[in-house]
Amino acid sequence: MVRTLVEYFIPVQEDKSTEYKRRVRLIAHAIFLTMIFALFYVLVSWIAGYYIGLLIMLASWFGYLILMILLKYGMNVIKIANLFGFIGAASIYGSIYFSGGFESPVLPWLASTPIVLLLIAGKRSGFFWAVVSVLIVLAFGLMDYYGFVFPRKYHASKETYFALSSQTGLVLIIFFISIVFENIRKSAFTQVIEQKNTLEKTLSKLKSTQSQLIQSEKMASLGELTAGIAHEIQNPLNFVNNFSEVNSELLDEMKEELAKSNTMEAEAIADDIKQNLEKIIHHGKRADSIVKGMLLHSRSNMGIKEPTDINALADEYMRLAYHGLRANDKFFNADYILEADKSIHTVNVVPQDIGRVLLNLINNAFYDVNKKAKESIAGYKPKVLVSTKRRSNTVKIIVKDNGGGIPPEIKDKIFQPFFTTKPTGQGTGLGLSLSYDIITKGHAGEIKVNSKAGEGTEFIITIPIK
Amino acid sequence: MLHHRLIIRFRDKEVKFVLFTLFLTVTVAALSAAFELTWRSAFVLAFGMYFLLGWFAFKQNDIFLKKLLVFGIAAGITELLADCWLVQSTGTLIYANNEPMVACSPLYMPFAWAVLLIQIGYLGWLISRKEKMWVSIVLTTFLGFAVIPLFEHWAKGAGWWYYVNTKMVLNTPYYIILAEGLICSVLPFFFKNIHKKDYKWQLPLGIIEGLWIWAAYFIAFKLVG
Repeated sequence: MVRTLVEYFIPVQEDKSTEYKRRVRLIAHAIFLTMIFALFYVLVSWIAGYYIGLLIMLASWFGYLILMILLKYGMNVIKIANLFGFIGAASIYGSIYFSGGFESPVLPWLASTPIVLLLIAGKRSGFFWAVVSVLIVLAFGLMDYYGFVFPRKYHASKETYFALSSQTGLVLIIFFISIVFENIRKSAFTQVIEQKNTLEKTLSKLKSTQSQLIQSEKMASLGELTAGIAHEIQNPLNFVNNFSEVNSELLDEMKEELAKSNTMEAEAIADDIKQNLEKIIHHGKRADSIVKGMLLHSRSNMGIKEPTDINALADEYMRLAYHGLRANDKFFNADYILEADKSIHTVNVVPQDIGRVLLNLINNAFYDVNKKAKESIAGYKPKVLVSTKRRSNTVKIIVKDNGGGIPPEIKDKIFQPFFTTKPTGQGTGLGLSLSYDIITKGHAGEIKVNSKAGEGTEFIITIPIK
Repeated sequence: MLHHRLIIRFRDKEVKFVLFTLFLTVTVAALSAAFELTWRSAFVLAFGMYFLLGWFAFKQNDIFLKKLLVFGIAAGITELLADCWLVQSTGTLIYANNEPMVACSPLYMPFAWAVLLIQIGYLGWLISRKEKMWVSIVLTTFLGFAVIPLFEHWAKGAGWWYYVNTKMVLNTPYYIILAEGLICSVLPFFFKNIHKKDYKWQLPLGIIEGLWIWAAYFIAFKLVG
């Protein structure tokens, strides 16, 4: 019943913070409890014949009721709390004045205002009302010291009863409001723990989804590579097949020459076979390295840093990207140039990660120039330039294109996860986001973008040399 | 089984609450006597306690307590006749007379009787649930002998009422002690019936209890007054 009554005065505040709602609940309960105590003191005053005290308590009761109504209609909760403090302090002041002033049994009630306000409205209000209470005590003390005679409006025979009721009431009101405070604090704490648990579960789900997405992005970029890889493997395989066939014929010839006991000719053929076998081995190794590279690219764990030839890496991924696009779109054509700084030997990086970044940036560059080329602009020649530069402590890799550029309004968003301008199904929106993480978090480097709409884009990767 | 457990748990709450009100009543009565708080404290105590019991009964939807509240107030109003007889015919009971009155009694008297009958009767009824009816009647009678004279003693100290022109122990006449024992003796029986039976019974039983109060005073006064 009491809870229903208090709940009636608590406003519905969907837009407010949990802390604000907690405070509203606390203040509503505190005012309601004080109203009950005020009524109790109306009876105490009546029995003690303290009629002016009775009137003061009735007036404060109506004051509290108005505060509850104001609370219901959305008045600021801190203002309500301080008005509550004001009504409380004023009624206590009045009661003290008419019941003996500095010697009044109601005087200790002045302690209740700062304590209660501290609990319900925070430190600032508590401090303010502590100062007010101390000033009131000082005022009464000074008045008493200078001989001011305070009226005693209650029956003299009821003095002990009046004092007993006052002190008991003071203990009880502070106790009850503290209980309300403790209950609401406890429930808020439980709520926070529940929210924390929910957030932890959500975070764990998000992390799992994120790792799945990262893997998907890797597989997507692997898909983009496939055509290039097929092209790259085809060349060594052709060599292997052709030289194998030639060797087979040469062995037949060698048999014939040996049958004729023509040793000189047989030895010459054997030399040719050996040369061919060396070429087969060379191209076999080349195919092997391509397959290994592909496997490295699809690996899900973070790789280990190792000295890597950045120029070779850039060259390899540029060609892979180009042939990949060519395989998908036979009308695609673009100039691609690598300007390698020969002073860069090896840099300590995770090759598959840097390869992924390069592939992503180069693919984007080719995509952009191809898109612009399809607009049939007169004299336009699609071009992608990858350059490497060595600085004193860093290595720069620049991927530059002369495509349509990035509109300024989306420039700040391109590194955000899931942001993509590609049509649905063509981009995951994770490529640049992952590239950003690989460079900044994985290699303590930085990645910058310069772009002019209609003129092209330039991505500058800076990696420290360690 | 679950239903039974729920009833026991509910009853536990009710028992605790009624015992709490009894403790509160005794405390306030003792303080009233100690500080001579006049009829005003009796007024607050009677109405306050009746309100408190009513609040609990409605909050918990406690049908038994609701029925007891009707029984108590019916007995309290009927008891006004007994009060008039004590004031006017025996001349032994004196009220302050500077307070709101109804008939010959203070305005709060029906509520004071209601509260006291509920509290003492409830204890008697609790005993009757464990013991045979005659045992609970004897124990409740002794409870009446013990508790109510204590209240009578405090009543004088607080300035609520007092007795004159009769043989007394401290401030309580012999006939009052005997009468109030008799008044309480029937409570376990009445409460058991109120608990078992439907809503029709508490009002007539309350009136019968009120008349029995009168009869008990009459018998006791004739015997030892």
